[in-house]
Amino acid sequence: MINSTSTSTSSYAARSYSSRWAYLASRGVYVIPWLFPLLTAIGLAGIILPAFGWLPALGYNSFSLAPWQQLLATPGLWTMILTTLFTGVGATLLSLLLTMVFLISSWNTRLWKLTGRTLPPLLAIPHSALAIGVVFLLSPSGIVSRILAVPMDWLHPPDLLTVNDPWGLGLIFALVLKEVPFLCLMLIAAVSQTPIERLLTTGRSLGYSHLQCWLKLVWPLLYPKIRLSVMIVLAFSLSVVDVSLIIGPNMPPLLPVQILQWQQDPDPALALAAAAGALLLLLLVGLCMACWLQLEKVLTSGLRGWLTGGYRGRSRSILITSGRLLFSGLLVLAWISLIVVVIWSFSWRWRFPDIVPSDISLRAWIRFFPGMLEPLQTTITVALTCSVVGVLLSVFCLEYCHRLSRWQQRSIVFFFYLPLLLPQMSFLLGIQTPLVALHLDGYWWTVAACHLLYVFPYCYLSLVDPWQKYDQRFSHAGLILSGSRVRTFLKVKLPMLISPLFTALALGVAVSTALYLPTVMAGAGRYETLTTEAVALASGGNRRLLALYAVMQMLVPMIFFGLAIAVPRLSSLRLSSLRLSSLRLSSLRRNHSPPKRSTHES
Amino acid sequence: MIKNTKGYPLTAMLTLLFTVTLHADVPLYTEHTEHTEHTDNWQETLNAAKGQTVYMNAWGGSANINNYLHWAATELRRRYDVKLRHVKVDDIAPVISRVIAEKNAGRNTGGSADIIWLNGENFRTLNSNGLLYGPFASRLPNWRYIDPKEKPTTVVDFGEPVNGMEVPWGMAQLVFIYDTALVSKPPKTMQELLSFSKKNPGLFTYPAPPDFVGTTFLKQALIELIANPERLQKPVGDDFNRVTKPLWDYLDALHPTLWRRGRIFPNSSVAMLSLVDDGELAFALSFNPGAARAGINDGLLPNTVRTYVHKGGTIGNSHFLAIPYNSSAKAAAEVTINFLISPEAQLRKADPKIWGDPTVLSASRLQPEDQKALKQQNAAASTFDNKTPIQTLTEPHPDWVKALEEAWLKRYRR
Amino acid sequence: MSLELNTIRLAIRLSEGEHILLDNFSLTVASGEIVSIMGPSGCGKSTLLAYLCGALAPETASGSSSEINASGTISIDGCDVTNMAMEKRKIGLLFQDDLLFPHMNVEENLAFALPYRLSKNERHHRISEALAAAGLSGYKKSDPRRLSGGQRARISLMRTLLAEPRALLLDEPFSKLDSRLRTQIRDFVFTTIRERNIPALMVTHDRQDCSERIIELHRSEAGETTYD
Repeated sequence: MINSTSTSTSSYAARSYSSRWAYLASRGVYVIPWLFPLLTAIGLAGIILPAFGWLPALGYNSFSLAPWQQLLATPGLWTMILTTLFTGVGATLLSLLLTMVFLISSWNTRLWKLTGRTLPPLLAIPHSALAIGVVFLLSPSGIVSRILAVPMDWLHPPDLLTVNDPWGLGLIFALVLKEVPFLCLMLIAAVSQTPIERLLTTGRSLGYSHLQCWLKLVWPLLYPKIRLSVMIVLAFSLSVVDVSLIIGPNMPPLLPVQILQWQQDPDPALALAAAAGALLLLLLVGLCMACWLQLEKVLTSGLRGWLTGGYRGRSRSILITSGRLLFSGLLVLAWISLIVVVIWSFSWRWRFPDIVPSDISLRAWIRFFPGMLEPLQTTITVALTCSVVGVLLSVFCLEYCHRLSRWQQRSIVFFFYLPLLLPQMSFLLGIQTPLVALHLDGYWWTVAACHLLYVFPYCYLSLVDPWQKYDQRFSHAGLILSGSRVRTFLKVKLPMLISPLFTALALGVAVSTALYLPTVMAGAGRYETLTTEAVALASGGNRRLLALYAVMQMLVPMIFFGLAIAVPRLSSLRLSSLRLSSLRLSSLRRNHSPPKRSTHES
Repeated sequence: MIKNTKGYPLTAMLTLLFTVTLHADVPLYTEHTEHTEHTDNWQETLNAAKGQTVYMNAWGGSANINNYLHWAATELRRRYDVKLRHVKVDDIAPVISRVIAEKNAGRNTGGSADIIWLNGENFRTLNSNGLLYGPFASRLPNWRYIDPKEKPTTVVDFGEPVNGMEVPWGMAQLVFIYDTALVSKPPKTMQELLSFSKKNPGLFTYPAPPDFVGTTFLKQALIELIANPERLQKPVGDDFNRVTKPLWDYLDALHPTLWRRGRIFPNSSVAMLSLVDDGELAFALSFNPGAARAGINDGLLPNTVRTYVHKGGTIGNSHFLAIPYNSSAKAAAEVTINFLISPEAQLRKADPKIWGDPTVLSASRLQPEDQKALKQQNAAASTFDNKTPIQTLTEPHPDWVKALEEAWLKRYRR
Repeated sequence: MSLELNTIRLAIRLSEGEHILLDNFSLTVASGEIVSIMGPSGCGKSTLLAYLCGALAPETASGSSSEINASGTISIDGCDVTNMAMEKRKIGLLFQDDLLFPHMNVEENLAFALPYRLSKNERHHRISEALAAAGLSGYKKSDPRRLSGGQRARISLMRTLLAEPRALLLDEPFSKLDSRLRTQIRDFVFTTIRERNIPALMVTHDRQDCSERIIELHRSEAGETTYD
């Protein structure tokens, strides 16, 4: 009955207009499942062929194993591989462990709520900016050492290997500081879908201690929900370049950094070695993931006995208090390092062992800011374009993908996330090879397109949940009233989802601002963003300037996140009439069943 | 300021020969005709350059250099309607590889780089493969301020005759910077350096090759340590291991006494400045004799730092600007380079408050007021202990760069 | 065995003063006896259960529960458990959701409740016994998500009982079952509790579910405040 009403009240023109659009869009959606596999195939071919000696763009027209011989002859190759594995796996394990500690020790406490609020801005800060902060914090002349200087009676910085150390411990620390917030935020989302309180009560009424309940009942249910995020962290940590350039080992560097250096070497033979290295890195990441997943299986079956053995644990564990301390300590360190970055940008003279700068001034800002305008402009234009396109594409996919078959939908989602699960260095090198061959590198839109590969999955990821929670009955009601799908979508659904949409936009901007390799690989050196500039400056000695770039790197995403919170609130004033009508709808509906949550919590 | 008082016979001859041939190539106009000739052609170049964008690929790790180029871009836009874009690179090598890749891909026009800041090996690579545009040096009106007789390295780049395929932009010489608050009497030879570092471990280091300054430090050590440094003017041969043995013996002894016991090295020479400022290091290396003064002015170094060179002199060279053959803005690139070697731009560049990079121009060819300004600048810029003229050693044959870098990586990268 | 509540007082903390839910409430539940507490939502019956099981105990009073002021003693068999941690009280709980752990099969769910350090045979024996009592002997390896609501409810009770509780609290245990199952499960639960001779306190708002002894709570004067 409802449907017949909708067709009879709608005007013919509006209906044909909307249905034509719907038709075109529904055709377009069939392209998407093939787009990403195609890109992946190109990316793979772009490293596999050169890795075996075939790269016509540089004059290599026959297959050979020479690139591998060259790769294997690299001094320190094994050290490189082992350190890469150690830092990548170490950072992931440690991040996961700390996330678990955070969850167990802080759930439903003030710290939990505080973390929920302080993490998103921390997450929006680019990795490289945080790494710069960690350098300012931990290096032998850093703030920690300055604080220790008085009690330890140090006149000069201690000759210690704290950053750029050969084991990559500094790198692990910087990665952990950035990945823990990411995993925690993913976990907070997963927690909201799990009846933790009930599980804990049940467990404890059966005599299990708090900690045992978490380990045996809650964690096994939560972990599968963040497994994808853990894999993303693993792939990222194993192939990170920018953070590694700033704080990682350099004698020898990590494998991804070495690949970048080979790729940029004038000797064309090294471009082939870079491809071989990229393929090796891809295999290493694949191997690590396979091992990780296998280990999970072994652990689940191996720990069955422990799980059901009836061990109740002691009532109060020291782990809970110390975990809370550890986690708050980590948060505080992250914030201190960011504050130190800000102070550095305003200091003209700040010698060891001064705890505060001896000469604070705006000179660095006045002097260097004009030179920053260009990278700032590139950063913002690329970031905004990507996130707008990313959000539009995500909305398109969310609206139309349900028309595809189930396996097509699954494969789409898998391929969306693929750029995040593949090592950046390998994937981008593979994409860059055809770009160079087709003379497509060095254009603004190429840079933006490469950014989109990484921005899109995050936009999509952040919109999936609000889209699923949206109650379709609002749209049905809108359709009855307006008779037009397009108008219903624009006037009912979009305004109701405005907040998550803006959050997705800001997230896109944050992701794009942080990207280093896509700019370097696709920009042919012609486009600089705040991040590429900051990484280049990290090898120089001007800390104020470096700090200035890091501050700008932080400001851009934060400003956009601020806007993402403010704009929907402002526009809600304008849309108040719409809201009112939707409220009426919801109160009507309330008679039948309790309303589902329709808007995303920001 | 920098005089080549102890050149090597071969280079000196080459230089002389080349200087003559260069002048033979260009018809010996009178000053007047030369001027009008340039004006005619040059006006065409200026017209062609209008509205073009020049992508200048230059190392972007120094704020002073970046700011200087930002100023140059503003002026070029105002005066000649040329848009200069500084493509800041960590290392110039990728740019060289890009030009090669473009050549291989048949991209003979519309290349991605219009000006490249380079010298030595990179110049030789591009020049020997015919990847440079030119000769164009003598076409530039401001070429007349350069006197190759006074500054031979402006026309010979690492022993390779330049032939007008690149234009000198600045002068460089390896100098040592030390903090008088930490060191009273700096070591003036490689052997003295070793015994100093043994007594005071952790105060010295050098940037890891293939950093340019790091490699120059290796070459400097090699020249000082071997009996027959003339050998280095010829390409690397089978005798590499024998010739370089004293260097590796020396480094094996030196490394355990270095900063962080030689387990890690700074990424670049500028990174050493902040380490000196913190008091972690007592020494920094630089290829710019004015670096210490510039560092003090910028608040990057304490005012207790001074500059010195080793007793027998140190390696010096010029750095150049070249135009790739496939540049899409050759006229604008020429206009830009001409502007960058103008007395105005060169004096500004030599100002330690701006950058402090020594000029390639010869004082004797400048206008009297420019001469005076240059003299004052030099006096203000100097942080040298003594006023004795500094000897410049000639760069070894470019072959040695790669060979030394590879051997170093093999030995010390664990 | 018996469950004794003595002068229980529960109140919601407000910005000014407090809203009293329950005052001077005393009750003794004998072994094998099932006492039903009835009342409209907001009368404080769920808060009472939370206080009894330890979710509201002074030392765990954090987060949302800190909005409640609770006092009064709870003792089981004359042993005061008021200040004990939840896991030490040995009070079994049964909710309207069966809360069988989805990452364990039926057998493992039951084994989870068994005391520590039992021999393998003993564990096996007790699980089989419990399954037999629930009439689900063949379901050892089943995935709890594949079971019907009635089956899950029976497993859930068995799991609670395997932990050897000294008292049982039931929070609207049958409200999610359809009417046919409801009678069947209620009889099963009541019979089992009486057999095991455990004192049980049940909260419900359906008179149909009630046992022999019923206590009705009423909303207090300022009944507008809803707490559930």
